[in-house]
Amino acid sequence: MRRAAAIAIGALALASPAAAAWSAAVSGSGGAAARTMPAGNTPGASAVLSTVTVTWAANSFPGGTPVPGYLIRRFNSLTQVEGTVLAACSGIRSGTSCVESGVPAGTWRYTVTPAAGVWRGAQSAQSTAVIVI
Amino acid sequence: MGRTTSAVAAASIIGALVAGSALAGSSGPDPAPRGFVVTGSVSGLSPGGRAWLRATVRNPYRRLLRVHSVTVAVRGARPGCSGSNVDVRPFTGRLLVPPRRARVVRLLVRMPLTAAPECRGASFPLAFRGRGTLR
Repeated sequence: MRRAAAIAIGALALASPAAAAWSAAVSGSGGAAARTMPAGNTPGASAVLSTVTVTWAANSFPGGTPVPGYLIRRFNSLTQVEGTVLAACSGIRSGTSCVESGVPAGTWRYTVTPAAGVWRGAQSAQSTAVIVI
Repeated sequence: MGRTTSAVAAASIIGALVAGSALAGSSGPDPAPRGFVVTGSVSGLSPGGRAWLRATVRNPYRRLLRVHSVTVAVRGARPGCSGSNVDVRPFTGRLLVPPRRARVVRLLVRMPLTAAPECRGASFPLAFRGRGTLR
């Protein structure tokens, strides 16, 4: 009475004849959805002599998961030429603040770009200008 | 600020089973299964992240269905965003689906840290494969 019947889902080889197999040609569609990247939040910046502290609000992906990193950029407030961000603020930062020491004298503005792997969100608006002596 | 992501994508498989010559080895004609359905969905993928794909296996038959494996092939979403940007671990083991009932298997989905920027907001087509036995 009890017989086993094998069902193959997809293009599979048939089971042994003794297993009384059926084969199946399967079709279907569906998907896996990837997240989008949020835009950065406008940072704040404050300077004491040549040390600048940059802070920003954290970003989250749609759905609430925090973005893992941020890219900080610094621009000359007058010329808009980008400066080289110094070590403590360079690269992908996992926190929501960094302190840049030894900043060249001038007037600077900062931006924040969310980062996840090689994904980048839109760059934030520039911070208010900070004067470095 | 951030845009709303497409929330859920569903994967569906309808298998039209055909009784073939393999029946020759059996002692008599078995009721030929007409088909079955597997559905699953996953969302929220981002570089370095993990998520669970819940695949529902429905058994339309009057006999116990024993599922041995479920695998998923990921197809490219768009130019510059191939299926290799998503990895779905297969289910292997034993899942018993009672007659005319459904059961869920969870498949671990990972997106590598190197996932291409073109994959932001993308939807990857999926194709399921699997294997089971009716008892």
